[in-house]
Formats: sequence, structure tokens, C-alpha cells
Amino acid sequence: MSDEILVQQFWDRNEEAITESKRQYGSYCLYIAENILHNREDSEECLNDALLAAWESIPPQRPTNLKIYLGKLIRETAISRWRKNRASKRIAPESVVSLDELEEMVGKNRVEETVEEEELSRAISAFLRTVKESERNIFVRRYWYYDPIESICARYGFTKGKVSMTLKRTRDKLAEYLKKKGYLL
Amino acid sequence: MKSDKIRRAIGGIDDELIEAADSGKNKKESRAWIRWAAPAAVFVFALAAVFGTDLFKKGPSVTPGSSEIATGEFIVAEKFIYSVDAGRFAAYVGGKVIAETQLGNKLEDVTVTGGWFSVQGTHLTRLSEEHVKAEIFEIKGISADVAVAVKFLKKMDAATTDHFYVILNPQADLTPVQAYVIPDETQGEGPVPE
Repeated sequence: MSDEILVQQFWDRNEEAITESKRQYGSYCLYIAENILHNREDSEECLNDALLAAWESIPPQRPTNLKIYLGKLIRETAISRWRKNRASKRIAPESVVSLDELEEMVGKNRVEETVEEEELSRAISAFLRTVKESERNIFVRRYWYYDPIESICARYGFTKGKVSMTLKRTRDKLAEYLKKKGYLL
Repeated sequence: MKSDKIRRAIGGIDDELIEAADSGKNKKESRAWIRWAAPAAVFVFALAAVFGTDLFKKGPSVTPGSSEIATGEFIVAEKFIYSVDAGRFAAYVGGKVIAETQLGNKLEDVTVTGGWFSVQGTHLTRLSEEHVKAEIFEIKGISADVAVAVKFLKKMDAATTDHFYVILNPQADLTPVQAYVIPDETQGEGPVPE
């Protein structure tokens, strides 16, 4: 079923939309949640939460890419769950590694407080379009999908060294870019 | 955490970037491509022999035009290609790494231009460019008209300062240095072993 038809089902308040979305994009969403939570049960709860969030936001939203729309919803849901788990000390060590890498990228700088998150997202998107496709995809796999390094290596056939080096280089370039744009001070 | 805002902003990047990273365009099983060892710069012998030093002088997009590449259709994601800027060794093409014990006297100082190219079929598109100084050394028992070794004095994206790289004259009989010729991977024979 095309996204257009599926989204229309949301608009028509046809609950088949949830069943069909789960069928089509459930694995994709669970993959994202499990990368963050490393727990199947929590991930499935997040999937249900994300589908509910989709039901409540469509309409008025009319996403053209439902897969990514759901992906973004579950990503945020899973991160919120991760924070809760962290507060109660139930956290898998892999989850913090990529966050440490981003923290290292910011370093001694601080993020400009008045910049809107959406503006920062646009800037990061613009930056990613300036780098090589392989660098871009590795960056997104690591910091959007939260893929472990080994998973990225397996996906692209790169060595661990190359992936780590590529990520470091891209983070450094992003930091420079954000500094030039005034988003990192 | 200071990076929280950045992390959240990454969450909101454009859908097409997220989709592209999931589409598997760079997956190793989707096409014949060459995997670059991190410390080594790898040449496509056939490509460099055809395009030589004009590669960096033709502007952002290098189109081979009517140049014939007998390897047929091949698809490679990206390649790092370098060449000596000028002089006697400008037309030489890259080969494998060689041990320092095999080298003789230093011959000259040169500058080298290297960069990433997107390669599809016979079409090259330059993605980046960098310039470094380098030294040329003779290889013991091998005429400099056939091959020499280059040592970069500054690291490039896919080449280190720790190694000596053979560069070969494509016009010469390369029998004496066959061991240093990088096979033509464009036939899809598989990744270059590290």
C-alpha cells in the first residue's frame, strides 16, 4: 500500500491505517528503537506509542514519507524511554557511546541558545549535503539510527578503523561548519 | 548535556538523508566496488593510464569522452586518485606499497595532487582535491623510466606519510615491477584485500 493511501486512511480515521503501518514499517521502527534501548519489550512499547502518536498527529500532518515519519516518532519515543531507564539505572552501555562522541564534538564550545532546533536541523542537513555520500550515510547511520560501529562496518564493508576515522572527520567538519555559522560558540 | 540540542537537531534532519542512509546505495553487495585500506592510496591502473595527469586540470567533472576502457561497464562508488603535478613522473600511475629497504637514492622533491572521485562506468566526477609535497626515490634494480617510489610529506585523505608508494610509467614494460601493479578491479573481481 502506498504511503499516500495509508496517510489518507489516517485522515479518514480508518484504524486499518495503524495495522497496516505496523505491518509495513514495524520492523524498521523496531530496529531504530532496539538500537537505542537494546530491549525488545521496551522497543515494542515504543512502537505502540509511536503509532499512537502518528494517529494523533495525522491529521493535521500529511507526511509524504510515512516510513521516516514513523521512524522519527519512534526515535524520539525511544530516546525518552532511554532517559527514563537511565534515571533508574537500566541502561545498556552501547547507548551512551554515540552520545559521548557528539559531546566530544561540541567539546569546550557551547551551542547558541537562541537558535531554534529546527534551524539547527536545517543547518546540519545542509552540512551533510556538502560531504561525500559515504561520509554522510555513515554519519546518519551512527547518529540518527544509532547503529553500532560493527553494524556500519558490516553494512558498507568498511573496517572499524575506517568507520571510526570517517565519523571523527565528519564530526570535526560539522563542528567547524556550525562554528562558522554561529551555532557553536 | 551540551550536545543534547545537537542530538535533537540531528533527529530532525531531512527525510531524504535518513532514507538514503537506509536505502543501501553503498552496501557492499549491491555493486562491484573497491574497498580502500585506510593507510594505502589505491590506484585504478587502467583509469589512471588513460587519464593521467589531466585528471586534475579538467575542472570539477572529468568525463572520459571517447577514451576506451577495455574493462567494460563497472560501477565503483568512490576512488582516491593522485598524481605528481609536473615533471618527469607526472604521467606515472600508482601502484602498491614498497618496503623502504628496496629503495635507493632520493631523486627529487615534487608536489602531488590527490582527491576523491566518484566513478560510474567510465565517468569520473571529482569530489575533493588536496595538494601535498612529496619525495621521489629510485627503486633498487629498477630504472626510474619504469617505476619509482613516492613518499608523501603530509598525509592525504587516503595516503599516509609512513609508507612508500610505487608509481609506474604506463608507457614502459612493467614486467620487472609486476608485483607492484594494482590489478584492474573494475572487472568486479571483488574488494582489494587490506
